[in-house]
Amino acid sequence: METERLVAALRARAAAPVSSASLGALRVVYGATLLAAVVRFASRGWIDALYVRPAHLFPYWGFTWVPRPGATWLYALFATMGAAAVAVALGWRARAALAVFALCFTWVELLDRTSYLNHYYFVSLFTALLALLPVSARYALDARRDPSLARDTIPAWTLWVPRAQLALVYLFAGVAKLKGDWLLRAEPLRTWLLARSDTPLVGPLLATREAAYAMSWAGAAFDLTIPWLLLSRRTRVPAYLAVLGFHAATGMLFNIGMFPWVMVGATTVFFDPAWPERFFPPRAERRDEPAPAPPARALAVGLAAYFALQALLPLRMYLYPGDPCWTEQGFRFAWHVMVMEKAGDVRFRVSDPRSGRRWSVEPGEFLTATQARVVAGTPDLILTAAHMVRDDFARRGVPGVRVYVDAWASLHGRPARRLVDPRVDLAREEDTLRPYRWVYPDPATAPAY
Amino acid sequence: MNPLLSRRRLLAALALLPLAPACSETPADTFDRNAMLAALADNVCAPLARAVADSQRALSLAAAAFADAPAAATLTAARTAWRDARRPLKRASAFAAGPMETLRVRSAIDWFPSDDAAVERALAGSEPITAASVDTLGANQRGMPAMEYLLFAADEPATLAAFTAGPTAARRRDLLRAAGAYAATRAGELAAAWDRAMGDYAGQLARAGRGSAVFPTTRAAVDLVVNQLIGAVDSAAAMRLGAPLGASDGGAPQPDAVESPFSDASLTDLRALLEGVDALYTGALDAHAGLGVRDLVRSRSPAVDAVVRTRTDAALAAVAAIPGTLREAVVREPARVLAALEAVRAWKRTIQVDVANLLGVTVTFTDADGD
Repeated sequence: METERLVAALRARAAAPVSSASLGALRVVYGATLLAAVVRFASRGWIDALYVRPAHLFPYWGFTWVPRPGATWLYALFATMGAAAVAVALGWRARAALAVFALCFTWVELLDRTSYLNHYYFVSLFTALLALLPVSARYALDARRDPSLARDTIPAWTLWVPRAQLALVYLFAGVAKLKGDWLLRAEPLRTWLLARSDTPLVGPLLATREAAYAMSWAGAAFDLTIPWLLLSRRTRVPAYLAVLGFHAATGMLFNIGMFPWVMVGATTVFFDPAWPERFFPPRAERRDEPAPAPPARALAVGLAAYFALQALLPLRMYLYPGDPCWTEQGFRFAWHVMVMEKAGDVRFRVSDPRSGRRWSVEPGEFLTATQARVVAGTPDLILTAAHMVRDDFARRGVPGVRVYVDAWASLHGRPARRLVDPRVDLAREEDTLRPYRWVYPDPATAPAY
Repeated sequence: MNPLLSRRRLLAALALLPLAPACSETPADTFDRNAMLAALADNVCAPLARAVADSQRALSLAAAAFADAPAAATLTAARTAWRDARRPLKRASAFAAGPMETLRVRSAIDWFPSDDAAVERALAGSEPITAASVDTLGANQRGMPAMEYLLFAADEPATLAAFTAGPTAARRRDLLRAAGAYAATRAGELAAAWDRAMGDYAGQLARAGRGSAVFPTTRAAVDLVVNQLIGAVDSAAAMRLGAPLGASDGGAPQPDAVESPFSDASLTDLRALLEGVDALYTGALDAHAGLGVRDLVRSRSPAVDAVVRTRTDAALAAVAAIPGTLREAVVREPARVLAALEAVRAWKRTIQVDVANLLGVTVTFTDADGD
């Protein structure tokens, strides 16, 4: 009985009418940001460098079936993304455009694990979610083309969805910082800030130990609290100023591309839904609109399942032994944003048990420099690369080789140590979701300074 | 107690909490990275570029003297000049970026692996060989490797005969003379590019992040220097030791894959390259000492610097312990060569993993985003 009352109350709150202005403004800003991101990516030659030039790509576990487009199709995909982003910003067939963008973007991202970034993952999710919402209700060509799409009000749940996604990102990014290295050693921020001590005006300040500690703690506190502070009318203004300051600072100091600007735009969805009406007042006459409704049952169930998965996925890191920054199991799709500084070195030792011949293979012989750098410190990528080496020898007429690795890594300034057991033949190890028995435990010692 | 006051105190204490660990450690925040870059440019890189230019000029003169008057004495002088020019060039090669890269000095002077068949094709041609036409030859048909082939591939009598009476004698003399002049010109450009009064690459490095047109940030320049260290040690391991040892060929030694095979200067070349790496790391070159990457590393972790020192000494000692020539050693003493290879690899690993991680250096250049 009590449950039924709660569900009824929740449905009533979900169906409560709110202004459609903020969702419309979010669509415009987000579409423009996506367009800038696509243009930036293409203009820097990254389509070629990251997806065309590599001889080998590293597909995700369970997604090896995703086809690798040729160069022409890749450029076509990015052109499609650019066109879709324009359509999103203008509100022309906006939901379809969002779906197209999400599909194309996710297809490209699924091609290669070495290019994984949290903010790319966020764009895939956020774009797909927006495609489910009435984003053309305001400030959209769709609303002109088809007045039935125009709405002054939309149901409240349509704002809950993007807010929940953003809150999860910040929350887990904060949880990932609740570690000894981040809080007690101010790493990796200390290392990064020292390397940026030439920043105009603030450089000398950034180089101080106090700045690294203050920024580490402030960063963790920011991530853990900002969604709630943005939700509260009383704290919203200072909270958004903090959003601007935080993302502007990270954008200037670190190579994180469009992510800060995506978040600065996206977090406006926490504002009062009618906030854009201060600048773009609504029409005076009232529209005859259908009453806002809670989401259809299938959609509600789907969204509930999606957010449950989103809440659980980052927690899988606790199912694996060791520090996820070291093993990197449970690291991706968990919002470990800007928490790791790791360098590695890997070399593959190949032997043919039948002939006794031995070879040494460097990653640079078959990977791009960028891929080789990422692979060197990442166990699952090392395993995939070992399989590439095994398969390459088989293609050249030497089947059944054993592949061992000398892989070393340093995490947050600690002395280098072996990452992978050099006695294990990785050619025979399968990539599974189980903990890797061939990855050495993370270093428990403090950094060497 | 005033409850408001007590709450304020609590908030103040919480606000200061992050600074507690900071105050408990010795600060080491004042290392001047630009001073280090300036010292490396002025004390190591620019002097090495000048030494390359001087030694290539001397080689060019000696080569021309031999080509003009082939005789035992001029051949010996040319061979000596060739050997003398190797050390500065290999030491300077440790910093393979900047003018070395933009002026394509390696392809002009020191292409590796060498290709004697390509040189023979140039000799068999009919186009006149001049200092200007050398520019159109392949990288494996000119520079020190081609000169080495011409001067060292045969013993003294045979070389003299080939330069005086053979069917390609005239073209041999032309190629030697032209290759020497071309290398000297390009080496001069290298020195000028580093010179603060001319190309001023030294100044660009020193002013990184402070008005440099090449390096928008100090970090970009420090990353470049550390990556040069890694690249040089890696090439020493993979190409100069690993390839002749057969590391990529199923363990079968490949004596012909050594650098400078005809002069048997492979090991002195290798030692010089590693000396160049050590000079960049320590900031010390011959009698000149200044700030180097070592000082930056020490400012963060004396322990990591100690590891680098140990690895450097071990690698240099292991290379020095290779007996005879490298061509012979990979066949007769592969264990010694393998020990040197492993020591050099360990050195590279320490720079690539420990040093890079400690300094937050991005290994290999990519401007792609991260998070």
